[in-house]
Amino acid sequence: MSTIGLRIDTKLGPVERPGPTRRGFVTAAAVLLAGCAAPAVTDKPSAKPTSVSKADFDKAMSTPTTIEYWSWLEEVPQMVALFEKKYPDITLNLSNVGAGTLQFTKVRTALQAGNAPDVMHCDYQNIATFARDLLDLTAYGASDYAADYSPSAWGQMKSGDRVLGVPIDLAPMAAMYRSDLLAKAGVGVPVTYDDFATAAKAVKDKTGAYLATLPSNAATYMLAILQAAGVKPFTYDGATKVGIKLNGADAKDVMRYWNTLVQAGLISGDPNFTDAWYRGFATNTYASWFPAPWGPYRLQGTAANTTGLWTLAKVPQFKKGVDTSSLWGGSATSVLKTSKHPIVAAEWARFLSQDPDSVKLLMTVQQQMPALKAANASPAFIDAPNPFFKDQQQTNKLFVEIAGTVDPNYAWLPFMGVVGTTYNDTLGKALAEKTDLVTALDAWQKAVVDYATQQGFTVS
Amino acid sequence: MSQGVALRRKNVTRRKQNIAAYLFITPFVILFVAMLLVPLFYSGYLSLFKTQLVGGTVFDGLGNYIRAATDPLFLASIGRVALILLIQVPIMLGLALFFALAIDSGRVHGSKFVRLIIFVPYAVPGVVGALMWGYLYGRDFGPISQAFHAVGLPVPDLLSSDLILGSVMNISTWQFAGYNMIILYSALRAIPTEMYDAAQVDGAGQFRIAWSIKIPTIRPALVLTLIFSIIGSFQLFTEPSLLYSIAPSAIGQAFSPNLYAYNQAFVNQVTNYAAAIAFLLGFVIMIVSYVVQLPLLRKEKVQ
Repeated sequence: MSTIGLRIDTKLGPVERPGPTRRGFVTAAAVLLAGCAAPAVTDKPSAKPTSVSKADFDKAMSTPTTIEYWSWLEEVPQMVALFEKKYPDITLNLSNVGAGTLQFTKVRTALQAGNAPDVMHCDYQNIATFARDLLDLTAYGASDYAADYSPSAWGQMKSGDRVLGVPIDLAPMAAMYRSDLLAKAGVGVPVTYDDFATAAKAVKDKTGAYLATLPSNAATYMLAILQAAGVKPFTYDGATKVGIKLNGADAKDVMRYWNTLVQAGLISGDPNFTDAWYRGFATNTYASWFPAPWGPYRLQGTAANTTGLWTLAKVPQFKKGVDTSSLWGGSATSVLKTSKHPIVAAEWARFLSQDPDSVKLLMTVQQQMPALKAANASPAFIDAPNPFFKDQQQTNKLFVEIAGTVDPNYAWLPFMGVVGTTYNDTLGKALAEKTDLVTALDAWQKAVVDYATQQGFTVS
Repeated sequence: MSQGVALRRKNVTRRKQNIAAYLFITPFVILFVAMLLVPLFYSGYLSLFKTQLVGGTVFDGLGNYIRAATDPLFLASIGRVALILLIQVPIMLGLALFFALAIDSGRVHGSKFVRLIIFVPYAVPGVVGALMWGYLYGRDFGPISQAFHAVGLPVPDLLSSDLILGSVMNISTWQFAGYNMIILYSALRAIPTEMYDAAQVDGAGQFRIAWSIKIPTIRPALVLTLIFSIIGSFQLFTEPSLLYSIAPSAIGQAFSPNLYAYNQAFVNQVTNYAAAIAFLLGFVIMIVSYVVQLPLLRKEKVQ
């Protein structure tokens, strides 16, 4: 009971234990002051090994071991089976404890209780949240395969010079439009945001459909749209310093643009991934979406009646001649520092996204774009047809092209869950109720900064 | 048999009975202490500390409580559930009382079936109920919207910020009216029938009997349902938590104090503050329940 709720952070120096007695409190204060004078304790040797010796590796993979793996990927049991077939002495205990925040909340609790899993599925945006709990894979051979991954994916794994995960999939943001509704409105596929505004009005007037949704509950979607316009609001040094600039001049320009469209009633603020939202596609309520490669497959069930009516394109740009995009999602496999079997765990992380059979499953049954360069440049991926898109061959090639325009340096804050809920209460609410987006953006900024300050971060 | 022996035998028997009694309640006490008291005290202990992502855990005394008492989100959530209490509870208890009286009057045909129908919503798990109503309230596909559409009236967005309070109150009423009706009906069944005979001799009709005999006699049951409803309203959690995914802007993270505590603990990772919120909520409930009970108990003493 005395250690629950206590987070010992070796990077920041000794931390006082809860001391309810006066003597305990004074002692704790003295220790803290002493700690401020001493240099930060680190558990890393200065010369880091960059790979595991073959002997150690073979020994680890042939000793009967069980490791705990938490993941919500629906088809991952098949990849687990492949791994266990290759290494018969290893058992992977897979648990699906919920998707996204649900799993991360449980990981936090498990870390405090001392029974965290060895390996977990982690999306790019949450790696920073667990930066202090994840194992640096550099010592386990990560530098050997760094160049095998698309730069935008690998960039998301780094915290300083530590590698905190092995990327599984890549999720560059594209735009998809209902070609039939565009034709009915007499407009072509928008290339710039000015085209987009004109098209939005025409589509709404002539067909009644919304050319875009800015969901009131999707902070990461908004951040991806901002990133595609060149806005990078966050910095994090991996320890105690964060930079938060959600309402900088560039972000405000973007918000002003969307505000005009929202006030003109041309954008829908409905929350996404709800029943009603899925059916919005089937009933011609939404004429476009900015999806990542995993997006269209999600719609193929409910919106089956719109198969063949969509066109894939690049996201609109604010400036002519500029060609940038962003990532919306993407996940990796990360090993927890507390794992007692780091070699086995690191090998699973590598296997899932590099083993040819596993990668094939990723592309076919899991329907994701692999982050491995060789895989997403392969004919198997590029030539895979997608009947959802009209007359289009090689829609996956477009995704690969878009992935190349994504800046690999994009930082996240170590508390993205809070960024999400504060978005829902401020900017998301403004989108749903059609109030001023720029004011709401300021409110969002304030809420996130307040939380960061309250949590003891130095905010700039 | 001498007095002394008889007394000793009675003492031995009573001691045996006492031991048996304690043995019977031991399982309950163990569970009560382990599942209720220990977490309660631990939560109270937690609420006296402050945990930061940077800096770890620090003793904070009543800092969390002061922060909660001045937190606009927390105060707004208390205000919201108080409003729900003032509007929804009288309506729900009024309905429950009306149904109980109607069924007890013997004028309803098939009263067993009617009782079951009114009670069934309580048997539906809260999660299922909230999801079901979420669908019913849906703006594009919900039956209510379709009904408005069919008649040609403008469709009200029942999940918008303006109407969400009423929508949530409706779900609570639907779910608990039957439960309260059963409590009141059982109390009504316990009234001795001689009173009715006497009343009818005096020429009282059913309404007069209900007003002057039944309602005053079941006052303890009414107070019971009132206290339960007060506690239940303040503890509102299931409905806003489930409606959040389909109406995030209308619900927000602090719709009810419990939802706020939940989000603080599990999304924002600020468990200490959440514990303080939970305790403050507990104090508010205690005070309100006591204040409500006071005049009603005093009246009984006078009688």
